Amino acid sequence: MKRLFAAAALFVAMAVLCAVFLMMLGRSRAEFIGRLEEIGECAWREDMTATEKRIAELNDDWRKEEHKLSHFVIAERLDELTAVFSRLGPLFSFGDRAAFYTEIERGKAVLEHVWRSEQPIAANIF
Amino acid sequence: MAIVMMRAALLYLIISFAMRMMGKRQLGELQPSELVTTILISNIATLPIEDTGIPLIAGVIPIFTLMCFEIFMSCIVLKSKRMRRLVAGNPVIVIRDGEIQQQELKRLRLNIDDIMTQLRTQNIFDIGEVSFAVVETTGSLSVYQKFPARSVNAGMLKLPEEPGADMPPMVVVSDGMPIKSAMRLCGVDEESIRKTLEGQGLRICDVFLMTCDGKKKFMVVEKQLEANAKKRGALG
Repeated sequence: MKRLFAAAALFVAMAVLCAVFLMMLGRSRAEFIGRLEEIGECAWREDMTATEKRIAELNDDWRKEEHKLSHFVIAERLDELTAVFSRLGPLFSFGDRAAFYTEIERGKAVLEHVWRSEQPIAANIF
Repeated sequence: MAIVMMRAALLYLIISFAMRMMGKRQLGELQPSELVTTILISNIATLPIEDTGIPLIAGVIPIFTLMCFEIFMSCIVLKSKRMRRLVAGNPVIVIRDGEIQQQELKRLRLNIDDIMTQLRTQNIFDIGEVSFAVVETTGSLSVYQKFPARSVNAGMLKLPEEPGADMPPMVVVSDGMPIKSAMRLCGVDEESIRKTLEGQGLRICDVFLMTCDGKKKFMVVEKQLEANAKKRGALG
């Protein structure tokens, strides 16, 4: 009977862990999509200082967030996001705006994809 | 490389814990569901060890989930006979009164060679000697022999039962270490063991193995290295 209770407790703990992870991922997705949109708007207004500052902050914060998410999400998906975010600064500074906006959209799409692929829904399970 | 090494060590500990939690049934002959769990766990564990891109927790969660389900299932099976039948199946009689039940063999997809092999491993070479042979849910064959073929035992010979005869020899000293639980079962204490050993010129730490049975009969095996050293000392 002790084993049954231990297994039940462990099962509940794992379910809670999965829920916490999903909440964490959802929060990260919303935060980083918001920040990418903000960077896009700043760039559109030609506000160089604010855009560069926001890109630098985004990269700094992403490094911390990536470390947290790497405990739950397959590294390849996070590596893709790191690559996207690290290209934003040079693309903005050296004037390739089309590629810059493409990378912003790509970053949002990858974040959205990671979020959707981790949802415990029938489409992902089967 | 260091990550792979540490992950392997961690997963070793986790799987050992999971197997321990699933209990002794997992280590003996496996029921179908237990076999599935064991195979799945061994496969899942290799993924995060080989691929460092996969989070360790992605390997740990399915292992623990399978472990939990195995424990839940064993509890349900313990309570419900119907569930037990559904999960483990039923034992099937394949030989009855020396006669092979061919339909049952076909149903189990077993051939006569499989049955003969299993009978031979139990020292039975003649099917005519078998009263009942049952294929258990684990796949092993249990055999009940006909009366003339059965081994003679004390009950058949109506031998008087000796006191303490039902107690098997227990290991009371193992590699120089006294085992208190075994001593209690045999009704001896460390002092009496020490005295017995002193009679043979030995100390507890000189003993490799010492057993005691229900009649308080001891069997002692000395530690070989120390015995050799003693011999060498005597020769020198």
